[in-house]
Parts: sequence; C-alpha cells; structure tokens
Amino acid sequence: MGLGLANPGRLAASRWVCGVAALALWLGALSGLCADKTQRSVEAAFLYNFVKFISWPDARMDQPDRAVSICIVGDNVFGEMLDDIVKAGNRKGVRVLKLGQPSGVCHLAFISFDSKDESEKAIKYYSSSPTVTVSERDSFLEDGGTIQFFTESSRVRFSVSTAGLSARGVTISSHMLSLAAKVVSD
Amino acid sequence: MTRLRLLLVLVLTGWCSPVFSDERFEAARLANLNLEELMQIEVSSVSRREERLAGAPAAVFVLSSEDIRRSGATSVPEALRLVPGVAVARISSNTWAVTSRGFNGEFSNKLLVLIDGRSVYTPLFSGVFWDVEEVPLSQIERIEVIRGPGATLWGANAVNGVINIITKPSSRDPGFMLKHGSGNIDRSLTTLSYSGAESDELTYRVYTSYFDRSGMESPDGQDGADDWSKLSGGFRTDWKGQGEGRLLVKGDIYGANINNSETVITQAAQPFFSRHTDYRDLSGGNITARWSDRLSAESSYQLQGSYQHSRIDSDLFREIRNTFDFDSQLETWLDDRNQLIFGLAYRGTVDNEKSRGITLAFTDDKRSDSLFSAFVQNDLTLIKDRLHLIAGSKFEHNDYTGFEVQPGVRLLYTPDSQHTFWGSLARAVRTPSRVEHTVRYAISGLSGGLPPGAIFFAYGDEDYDSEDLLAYEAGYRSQLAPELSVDIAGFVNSYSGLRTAEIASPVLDPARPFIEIPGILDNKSDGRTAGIEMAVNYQPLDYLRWRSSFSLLKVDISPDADSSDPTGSAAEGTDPEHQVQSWLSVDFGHGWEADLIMYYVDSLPAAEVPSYVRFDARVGWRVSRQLEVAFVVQNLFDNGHKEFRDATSFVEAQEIERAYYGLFNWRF
Repeated sequence: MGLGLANPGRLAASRWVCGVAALALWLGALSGLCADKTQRSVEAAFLYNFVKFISWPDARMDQPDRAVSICIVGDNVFGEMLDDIVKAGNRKGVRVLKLGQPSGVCHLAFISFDSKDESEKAIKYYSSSPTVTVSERDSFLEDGGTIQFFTESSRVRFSVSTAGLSARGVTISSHMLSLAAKVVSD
Repeated sequence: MTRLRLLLVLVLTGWCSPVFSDERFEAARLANLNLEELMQIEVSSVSRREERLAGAPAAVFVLSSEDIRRSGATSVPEALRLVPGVAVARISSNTWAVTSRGFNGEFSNKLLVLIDGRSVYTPLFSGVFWDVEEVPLSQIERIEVIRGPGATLWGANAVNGVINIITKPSSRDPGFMLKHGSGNIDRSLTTLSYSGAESDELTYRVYTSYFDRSGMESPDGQDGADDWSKLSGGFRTDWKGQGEGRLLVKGDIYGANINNSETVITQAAQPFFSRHTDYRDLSGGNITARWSDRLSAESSYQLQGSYQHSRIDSDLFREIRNTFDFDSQLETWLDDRNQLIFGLAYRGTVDNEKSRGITLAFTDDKRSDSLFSAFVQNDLTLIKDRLHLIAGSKFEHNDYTGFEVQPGVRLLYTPDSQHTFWGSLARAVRTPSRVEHTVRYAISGLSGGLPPGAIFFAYGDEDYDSEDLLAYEAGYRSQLAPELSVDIAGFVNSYSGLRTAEIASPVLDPARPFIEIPGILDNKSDGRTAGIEMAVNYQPLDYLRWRSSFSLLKVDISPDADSSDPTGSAAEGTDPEHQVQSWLSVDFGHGWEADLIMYYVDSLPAAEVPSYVRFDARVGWRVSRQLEVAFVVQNLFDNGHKEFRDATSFVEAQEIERAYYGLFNWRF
C-alpha cells in the first residue's frame, strides 16, 4: 500500500529533480518543460485507464481486429509515452493512432491544438460518431467535448460532460463518473 | 504535514534526465495504476514541499482515503491496524492502545499524532485520547505514518513515531454527501457534509457527524458498559491567493458521552476496589489557521496557529484544558546543493484539574506550561540524483525538564530509479507529562500482591526526568517490477531513563481506611528494542491487488539494580513480537468490489492476551455515481477475543466482539 504510493513518489520525485535542475541552471523554461512532461505521462495513463470504464456501441466502432483506438489529434504532446503505457499494460486490443488532423475511427480522441478554432472543429468532427473527446482546453466541455483534464493541488483531475453521450450509444461507468471533479449533463 | 514532506528527499528517477531515465519502466508502472492512484500523483515541479513519501529516508507509510474506505474501518485507530509495524489493540469499545515499535498501553506516550498539523496528544499523559480525537473517516484525505523518531522536526514525544491525519481539501467532492452506517457495534454512524465554492479561489466544507456505538461484552459474560456516542461538527475553508499563497482555516466542535467499566476505590473495606461504570462527558473545540506562500523561486514559508479547548468530566476527575500553538517555518535553497529548513514554534497549555474521589488526585489543580522550540535541518546533495545527507536538530525548552536537544542525521542513496536505500541516526526525548509530575492514583492491577489493607499508588514526582532514545534505522524500498514493490525497514532503539515506580515508605493517612504504598515515578530503567518491518504490494492484474506486511519486534527492558519497581520489566510483554497482515482486494466490475484482510497478532504475556487471528471482510457496490453501498464484517470467524489489558489503567478490558454493519454513501 505504501508501496502503491511508491509510484506517485517516483513521479513526484521526477518533478522534484526537474525543479532542482531548473533552479540550479536558472532555467525556468526547463522546469516548465519537465513539469509538462510528467503531467503528460499521468494524463496518458488516465487515457489508457478510461478505456476500461467506457463502453462503446458495438456496431459503429467495431474494427476488423476489435481494437479500441486512442487517437492523439493535433500536436503529439505525449511523444512515445502513451504507446509505452499501452504496450506495458496487460490489456490487449488497445491501439494508439497519431493524427495531425481529425480523421479516422477513434474511440477516445485526445485533442491538442493551440487554436480554439481547430479544437472546436475537431470536436465537431467527432460529434457525429461515438468518439469520446478529451482535452486540456479550459472551455472544452462548453464547446461540446466530453472529458477535460486540469490540475488541482498539483494533481491531474478530470471533469466529464455526458451531454449527447447516450444518444451516441456511449456509456461511461458510474465509477469513473464518481471520480470526476465535475459531471455536466444535458 | 509539511514537515513530513520536508523530511523527505526523493527517489531521483529523473524523467528529464536522459542519463537516468527509464521511461519504459515508468510507463509500465503507470499502466498498472488505477484511476484513484493516478489522481494521487503530484505533478508540480516547483513545489518542493509537496513531495511524496515514497523516496523518504524514513519508514513512511500512507493510508489513502481509498484504503480507509475499502478497509471497512470505522475509526482512526481501527484504520491504523493497516499500517505495518504499528500495533493497535482495542481495550474496550472506546479505548485503544496504539503504538509503533513497542511500549504499548492505554497511555502509550511515545507517538505524536497531528490532525492537519495540529498536535492532538494530550499534555496530561503525553498520549492520545483516541475517543476524543475521532475524525469522521469520510473527511480524511490520507493518514501518513512515520515509524521511528521524528523529533528532529517535530520535537519531544515524536519518539517512536508520528501519525499525521490530513483532511480533504474543501474543493474535493463538491455537493452534499450523506453517509450512514448501522450494525451491531456501530449502531449508528452518520456524516452529512456539504462542499461548495464561493469562487474559484474560495471553497468551503461544513459537516456534522454523529455516532452511537454499542459496548462490548466483558470477559465474564456481562455487559461491558462501554457504549459511547459523539456528536461533532466543523468546517474547512481553503483560499488560493495570488501566486502560491494559500490560506486554510478549519475548526471543529464536539460533545460526547463515553462510558467505561472501571476498577476504582469504592468502598472503605477490603478489597477497596470494585467495578464501577464511569459516565464521562467530553466537549471541546478547536480552530486552526495556516498560511503558506512562496517568497521566491528558492524560498517558501508557512505560518500556522491553532487553539483547542477540551473538557473531560468523569467520575474520576474533571479536566478543562486550553492549548494554543503557533508554528512557523521557512525553507530555502542556499545554493544548488543545500536546502535549509528552519522553524520556530510555541505551545502554551493551561489546565484546571479537579479530583472526583480518592482513586485519582492531583498535587496541584492548575498548571500552565510553555514550550518554545526551534529546529534547523539541511539537506545536502552529495552526489546529484544519488546521495543525500540530511542533518538537523530540534532545540526546545519546556517547563518540566528545561532545555532539550534532539539531533538527527539521515542518509539517502538512490542508485537508480528502482531502488532506495536509507539510514538514520537520531536522538529523541519524551518529556514528562502532567500526570508524571503531579498525579497520585490508585492502581488495583498492582495492588494484588500487597499485604492486606495496602493499596499501590503511583506518585508523580517533580524530579521525574525525560526518557531518552538513541535510534538507529535503515531501510530499503524497491519497485521490483511494475506490479510488485517492497519496503523493508530495520531498527535498533536504545532507551535510557525509562519510567519506573520506586516503592517508598508506606503512607498512613488516619482519614483513610487503607495504607498507601507509594510507587514514586523515576527513570530507573533502560531498554533496547529491535525489529524489522516488511511490506509487499503486488498487483498482478487491474482488478486484483494483494498487500501484505510482516513485523518483528524484540523488546528488552532492564531496570537498574537498585530499582524496586514492582512492574519490573513488564513493558516487555505488552507488544506483539510478530504481526502479520494480508489484504486481498478484488474489483469484480460493474462497481462491485470485495476486500478480505487478515491480521495475525502475537501473544502479549504482560497483558494476558493469547495470539489471535482476525479477519475483516467488506463487500461494496457502487450502484451509481451518486450511491455506494457496502457491508462489512469485522472479526469474521471469531465471536470475540481480548486484545489488551493495561495493568496500570482503570479501564476494564473487554472482549472485542464480531462486528457487522451496512452502510450507504449518497452524494447529491
């Protein structure tokens, strides 16, 4: 149990190392970069975890290999981290797709664009399919997205909007919803 | 809590440093964490205080709110059973003996307990009234436990361990929460809370909680008469200021009725003592304010003040106590290798004691004590990402023994991202408590062998001095594989000046029908304890987790040759030599979950308790986002067993019965 916490510890440690390195070198920018990277890793692990708690309609989403696709749409902010996590996980049938622009069949789409326009376009693109969209963008849920990451007390948390999900045949488990910081419904 | 963090230097995995990083390993580990665990990971790179415990150069263990929820425990001391190396024994329905690394007893006095940074050990006997300090478990974010001395940072009385109870920030779980449970022992457990946000910066929570718990059965089959109930309420507000400025203000009030069957002097003829039901009324409140902010990239500080008032009204005595604490600390990087932490604190306590009979009396009714303290600690990076040397000391002045110095030095070695080695050498003292200087009380448990007409009385003494500890510790922590981690700690503690009660000339008071045999408290004993604590966490599958721990403890007490203490080396037999815990957690899907916890506790010869095995089981179902239901059985295969008996206490030890309850937790 304490050992379970060894895990967060290591991560926090990494951030700490980043912080020390940055301070030592007086490079504030590096600190930001490092923080960003570890935050991304945790977010990637969240994405991988979300798959367990979401059910998609069989008909529309069935791929020839029955795999679940997690798409990174826009800037690939995760590098290889999401691929590594998926590879390391015990679960079969999860695939990572890196897409510069909204396209393809995605079960879970992490949308990362600098411009709000492009982000909204991506939400719109996936809104007609049972794709669960995820982003860090502040107004993401208001714009029609489904899951938004944010940090609170230095921890990654998420809010969920269930608007329109049932119409698209997507169900998010009550367990996952119970862990969300906020759940917005129609 | 912050100081705990300050103690820590981290396992230096180095995500940013390509030389040390092992991203694939980290990815594998991340892949095996569940949502709750992911939510615990801190991602701040700037805040040095918000470091996690895993890389700490100390025997640290954390119980998360999720662990507490799934354990089925209904009180803080019951939840502490889950911590490896901590001994928890329930004496009656409302009284526990809790310690770490030896010297357990109802009045165990070598453990410091803090709730959100507010020290809750009572200066009365340097222990904790676990019944008074009952915090609704649903309000707890986590409980951090450090085994071993923490005196360098926390000061006197953090001798064998520190328990930090940290409540949830008010931003957590917005809305109403109603939790209600009911069973045979926990007849009613109800907590209603509401968390709201005034703005993004200001959040608040208010709660009220009530419980009513049945008594246990006494070993001779009678009603133990140890039922109790408590009503409490409180609030917490968190405000985020500019930058990293944070203000926390919280407070609680409570009132409780606590009954116990006690052996006290009730009659003028032999055997003088008899069993008597004491109806104790408790009331009190506390308020804590904490401000923390960053001064610059290198420095941050924290100020905390708290006030607590408590009133205990029993058939034995009445106590009114007011305590004020002020605490400040500053941490700063001196250069890129040295991080310095410095703190100043004051604690003042004023009490008013009144004896309610001849069993217990105070030599002075009113007393006020002041404690001034300062600490300084430096964390020196010897080899970047590999080796840290942490050295510091606490300096304090108290009204009982004057000036005390408690230095400590720790070494942390992290050869790579998967292994942590640490070692520590520290001195700690336990300063005398109020009773040890000023109380006189009759102990039936020690009066047995005396001549007819004589009663053993413990006499507090003004010359009673601090107990001293020199502690040697070492530990190893490793993430052996993404799904498997281990934590091992070993220690040798060398105590001097342990408490004894030295027999003095009989005292004959014509007004009393008995002769008092005084046992004057003195420091005529030394002791040595040694032990090993091991914990394993194995999660082979997403839905299956196994946690286990084992602890071994050897206690050797040697009273001085000229000591006449009738209890001799009795403290040797109050702690289990072996303890084993095994916890299996399974998630069945669709919100169904089950937990089975096994505890093995070795025999306690001095307490006349044979070894026992205890099973606790919990089945829970998250019906929906709003509703969770669970059913818990504690002591599954046992009608009842005794867990402790404290020969120096009045409280009758009861049979700890099988307990079962159902509960629901509804958010709206």
